Parts: sequence; C-alpha cells; structure tokens
Amino acid sequence: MGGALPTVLVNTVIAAMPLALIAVGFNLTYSLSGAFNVAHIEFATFGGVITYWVWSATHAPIYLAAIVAMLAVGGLAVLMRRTIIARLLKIDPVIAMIGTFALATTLEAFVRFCEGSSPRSFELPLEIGTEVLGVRVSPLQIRLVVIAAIALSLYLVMLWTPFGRRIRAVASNPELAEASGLRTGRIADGGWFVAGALAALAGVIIALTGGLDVTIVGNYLLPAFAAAIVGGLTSLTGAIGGALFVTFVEQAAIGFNFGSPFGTSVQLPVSLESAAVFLVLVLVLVVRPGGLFSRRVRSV
Amino acid sequence: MLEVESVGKDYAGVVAVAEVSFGVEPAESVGVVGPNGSGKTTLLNIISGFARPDRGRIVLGGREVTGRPAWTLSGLGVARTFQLPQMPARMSVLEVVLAGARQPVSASPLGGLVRLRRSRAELAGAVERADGLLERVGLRRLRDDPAASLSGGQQKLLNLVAALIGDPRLLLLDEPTAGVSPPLRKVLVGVLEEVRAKGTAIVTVEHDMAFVSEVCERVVVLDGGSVIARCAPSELHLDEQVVEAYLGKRRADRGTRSEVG
Amino acid sequence: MFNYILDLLVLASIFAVVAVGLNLQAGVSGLPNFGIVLFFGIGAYGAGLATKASLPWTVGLLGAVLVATAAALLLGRLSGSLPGTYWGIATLAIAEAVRVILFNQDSVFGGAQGIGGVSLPFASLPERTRLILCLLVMIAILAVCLAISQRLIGTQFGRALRLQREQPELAASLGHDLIGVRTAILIISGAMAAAAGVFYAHYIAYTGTSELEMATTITVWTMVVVGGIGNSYGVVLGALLIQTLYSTSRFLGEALNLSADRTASLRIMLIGFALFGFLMLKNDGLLPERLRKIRA
Repeated sequence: MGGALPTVLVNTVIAAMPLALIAVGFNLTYSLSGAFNVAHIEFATFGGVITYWVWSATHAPIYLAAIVAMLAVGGLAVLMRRTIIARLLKIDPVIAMIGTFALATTLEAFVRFCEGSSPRSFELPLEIGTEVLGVRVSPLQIRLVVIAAIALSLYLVMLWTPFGRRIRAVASNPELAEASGLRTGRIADGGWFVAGALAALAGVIIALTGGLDVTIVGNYLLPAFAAAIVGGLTSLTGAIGGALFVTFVEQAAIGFNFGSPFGTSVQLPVSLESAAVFLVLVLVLVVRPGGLFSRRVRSV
Repeated sequence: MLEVESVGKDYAGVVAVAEVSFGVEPAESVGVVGPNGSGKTTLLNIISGFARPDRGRIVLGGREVTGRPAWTLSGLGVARTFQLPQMPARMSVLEVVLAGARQPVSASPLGGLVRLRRSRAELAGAVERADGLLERVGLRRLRDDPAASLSGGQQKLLNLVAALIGDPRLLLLDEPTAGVSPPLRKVLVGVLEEVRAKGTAIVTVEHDMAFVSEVCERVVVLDGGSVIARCAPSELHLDEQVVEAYLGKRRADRGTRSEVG
Repeated sequence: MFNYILDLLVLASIFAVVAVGLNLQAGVSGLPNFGIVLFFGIGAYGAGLATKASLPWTVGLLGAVLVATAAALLLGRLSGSLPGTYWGIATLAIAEAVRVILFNQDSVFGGAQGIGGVSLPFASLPERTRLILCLLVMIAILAVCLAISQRLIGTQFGRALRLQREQPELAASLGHDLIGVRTAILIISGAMAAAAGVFYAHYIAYTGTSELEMATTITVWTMVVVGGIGNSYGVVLGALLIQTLYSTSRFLGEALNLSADRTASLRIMLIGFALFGFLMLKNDGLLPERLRKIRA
C-alpha cells in the first residue's frame, strides 16, 4: 500500500458506504422509538440473504432481487416494531433493549441454522478494474458506491419532505408530536421501514463485494456502532459523518506510512485497525458523549 | 448562612435568571414568589446544585459553593424538595426516608460489609427517627408500602421527611403546598415551624400567598428573572409593580391549577 | 454421566457469579451493562497471560482485578454523562471493540487461537475428585459473592443504588454521589465477573475470544431476567436453569442429528426464546425482586 492520503481517502469512501447505510437507520429508529435496536445489524444480514434467495430461486437480475430484499426487510422492520418493540417499550426502555438483543442473537442463529456458515458467491462476472487515485477499483465497486450515495442522498432529501418533517417532529419530541395530533405510530412505522431498507441495501453491498457469508456482517457490528455513537445517536444525519470518520481512522491506521517523514517505513500492524476505532470511540464518549455531530445529551 | 450574589442563568440564549441577589440567616424563612416563568425554580435549582449558574456566586456559611454538585451541597447541609417528586416503585416509604439519613459507615460499601455493628447501630437510630417523622406527617402506617403508591400530596410530604431526616441547615422547598390537602397543609405549617425553631433556614418557592404569609417573614418577588420587590408578605399588595406583574397573572394560574388538580 | 453433571454444575456456578455481578449493575443499580463479558474476559485473559509469562495464578487474578477496576472507573465516569440505554450501547461497543482487538492481536493475546495450556486446578488428582474439588471451590466463591451482594443491597449504600436506579435526582438531592456509587458498584461487580473469568480459564485450560461474543452476554442476561432481575437468589436459580438448558441442548442436537455448527445455532435460539418468552410474559422473572421490610 502506498501510504498516501488519496489512497486512504478512496478506501475510506468505499468502505464507509455500507457502514453509513446501517448507522443512519440505527440512529433513526432510536430517535423515533427511544430504544436501541441491537437487532438492526441483522437487517443487513437479511438483506444479503434474501437477495441471494430471490436471485438463486428466480435468476432475476441481482438489482431486482436487491429491491425485493429491501422491501421485504423494510416490512420485517415494521413488523418487528409493531409486534415486539412497541410492546416492550411500554414496559421499560431497558427491557425493550434486552428484547432487541435477544432478537439479534436469535435471528442471527436462525440464519446460521438455515444457511450454515459456509460462504456463497453471486458468481458475478469478473471485470477489469480501473485505477482511481492509485487504488485499483472494480467497476462494481464504483457502481455500488454511487448507488449507496444516491440512497443516502434520497434519505437526506426525504428528511425535508412533509413526511420527513413529521419524522423529525416525532424524533425530537414524541409527546409534543402526539399531543399536536400526529399519528406517531404510523410515522414511526415509516421510519422503521426506511431504516430496514437502507440496512438491507448495506447487506447487499457487503454480500456483492465480499461474498455472502452470514458471519461477515458481524465484522460490521463494531464499526457500525462506533459510527452511530461517534455521529451522535440522537442525530438523524450525523451517522454519515460518523461512518466516514470511523472508516477514515481505520484506513489511516493501516494505510499510512508513519515512518515516511523520517525517511523510513513504519507501517502499523493490521490489528491496530480495531484498536484505533476503540480509541476514537472511548475518546468521543468521554469528551463529547453526545457525538461529534449532535447536540449534547442530557446528563443524569 | 446563604448568600446569593448576582446569580444569573440562560437557557439556549433565553435569560431564565437575569441577576438575583438575596441572603438568608439561620432560622429565617424567606419566600420567593413570582408569576410562572419568572425564574423561581431555576433559582432553586442553582442554589441546590442541580443547575450551574452562568454568572454570580453562591456562598454558604462563608464558603463559596458555586457550581458544586447537588450531593456535595447536601453534605454541607442543603436539603431540597421537588415540586412534583417522583417516588421509586421498588422501595418502601421507610426506605426512601432512610436514604436521606446520614449513615456514613454503611453508606460506604466497605464499611457496610465490614463494620457490621456500627452500621446496624446507625440503621436502628435512623429507623427510630424516620418513624417519628413519618408519624408526624401521618405516613407511619404506610411505611412498608411502595413509595410510588402514595398520593401526590403524600409523596410531597415523604420528600420533605426524607430531606429533614438529615438535619439540614438550609431547607429549599419547591411549591410545597401544590396538590396537598388542607389537613396535610396544616401539618406542613407545623413541621416547618418546628424546623425553624431548631435554627434551620428555609427558602420557599410558592404560589399560595396565604401559605407564604403564614410561614415566611420576608418575600423576594421575581419577574422576568429579576428581583422586582423585597418586602414582608403583608406588604405585597401595596407594591404597585408586584400587583401588576404578579397578582394579575395569579388569578389565571389559579384557574389552570384547579383544572389540573 | 456423573462427571457430566459435575461439569454442568461447575459451569453454572461460574456463570452464576457473573450473573450476580450483572444483577448488581443492571438489576440493583439500573446500569444496563451489555458488555458484561468485558469483565469476564479481563479475568480470562488475566489467567491466560499469567500462564504465558509463567507467573502464579494469583498474579493473574490480581492483575485482572486491577484492570477490571480501571474499566469500571471508565464506565462509571461515562454513566454520569450518558443516560441509561445510551450507556448500555456504549458498554456493548466497548466490549465488542476489546474482543476484536484481542482477536486480531497475535503476539501478546494469542489472536484467534487464544492462549492454551492454562494450568488446570487439582490436575494431579483423578478426574472425578478433580471435578468435585473444582465444584466446591466455585460454590465457595459463589457463596461469598452472593453474601456480599445480599449484604450490600440492604445497607445505606444499597439504598443509594436502588434510589438512583429509579429516581436519580431525588438520590442526588439526598446527598448520594451518583457517579461515585455507580463506580463503586461497577468495581465490586466487575471484580466478581473477573474472578469468574480467571476460574473459567483455568477450568477449561484455555483463554480465547469465543466466550467474549455477544452470545455470552445474552446468556448471562437471560440468567438474570429468567431468575428475576434485582433478586440475587433468583439470578443464581436462573444461572442453574439456563446452564442446564445450554448443556443439555447437546443431546437435542444429537437426537436431531445436527452438525456441531447447527447445534450451536440451535442452542443460542433456545436461549433467545427463553429470554424472549420471559420478557414478553413475565419480565420480573421466577423470583421477582421484593420490597425490603426493615426490622429494627
């Protein structure tokens, strides 16, 4: 690896996209319901798995299969909110959070039980890569980054439509929104649908670039949580910045040649990638507990 | 005893308390009155350590305590009650009162584990005092009930008892009569009399003028975050500014209160 | 078969200690620690690293308790600035980050292979005697932790914890240092979980990251919720039941002729269902926390 800044930036953009898609939804559902959905990461798993199922059963184009998966996972998210999370939230937010934790492990075990842990591939044709700022990038990667960027932009645009305004109203003050006659349940359903669909898209991107492996999504667990926390859990958009920041730190930790100013070559070992994320996470939690891109959270 | 010196606080650019100064001597009872939104509760929060002032100083017994956390101030003899206290569902009435008692040995985890005899003695003493106080406010027979099962008025008295068991030097009360029934209100007046007789200073934020005249010697009138008058409760109706800023709005307050309560 | 039951009981008492610790945090103090495996892992790696450095196990235990204390100080500090569930997600992320670091770091922590050859206690004795002695030691540790837990809950310190769990502002107004009491209970319960981790590593003669996954956290949480969150005895009962479910699911896998991989998935699903069922139908558990009557 060259160790130059452009390389790190290109790698950051490519790797940050699925993270951002997962993390924005995580924070969106938290803002709407007041419960962290630990099972959110499983939406990505299901996105990849359902795409694979549809694709291998019907041989439909992968992009069509992906859209089916996004709709299905969005529906699953709404179903989950209505049947389980809303009920548990009435008891206590901590109980609801334990519930999502139970859901996460059960769903993951279920997928493993059905699919096994052996990886599968979409048997995509090999394409000739192009060079972008010194990094070899396949056309597929470029297409996926563009699709992810479009999805994220649509999400941002959505926040400024009348529907998005209602979402923001419910997210910032549920009681007030309820009192002023908004149908908060419906609006939360909409938000959960969007969050599920975005995470499913992330799952498709992960599966298309890395192969379908139910354990691979587990590797995104830590960076996704880190992106969400660094971006600010109460912020509807901060997670995009959080994802870019966390990925940049990861890529910089392994990509930079820290010896170059001294004329030598000092590359940090790959294991420090996660250590760097850990450090950023703890620093942000201690110094700016509300996240880099959001208002302060209330203490006590 | 307590000196509030030019204290001010803003919330998101809006002035909640502009500049307020007043002092309280031991065994003195001061009322803080003013219309809704005049900064009374914010002021109480600042004095009790629940909010940090942006300007000014709080001096307690000659020692500056500005910005200290609530628990430190409590250790220095400041106790407060809340306007609408929320009591725990999984603790009994007696346990809530005991939580306010000073039990240094069993309050430290190691002391509670190792110095069994001392902590048992502390507990026995505290239970005796707690029972006496609960008896005084008519909650003794409910001592083993969940604290959250009490009525709103009873929870306020429980809050008061828990604050009093630590023998505070300064007692801050946030609307002590709101939601309290007339017989309990009478008890409240009596208890506050006894507390003062022991030398405790009292600051009361209150809407109920009759109560203020009964328990306070002096009042400080706030409007828009500033002091607009200082006088005896009996002179309140003589001050033109007060009548305009406060008494006019009070009738409206009463109206909404009766709807709620 | 008898050895199998002994093994089950040893594991149940190890995880009962972790569950008693988690209950002190989540049940008694309202600190929803979703990274309780962090403390357990600190213990396990304390034992592993002591083995690697050819140091006696007591050094491993001491080191583990010290590191656990440092972790408790960090989490306690965070509890002052992060509201309940926000703190919970932070603990989850921190524990997961530590697991990933340990997993990727080969030279010191053994990476994915972990550290083998952790000394077995009573290794020279015949298998059955060895297991019985392990069980007795572990039950003694559990009894001490249970006694500490029960005693603490009833003291003024315990009242401060339980009052701030539901009404932090009221507790602060009555003179209880919120961050102080939370940090103190995190240190005490963290040390319990770390001690359990030390013993676990010695018992299975191995230290690795597989026990630090979210599945372990959810297992311990299931023990706490099924037994009765807030009730130390209930939590021990929960540990026994869930460990039994965990260990016997092996036979179910054999009966259904499943691969080891699928049996593991099935086991986690069973535990997930147990947790789920209790959350939806009886979230105060088999032995619910009761109001404390004070005799004096």
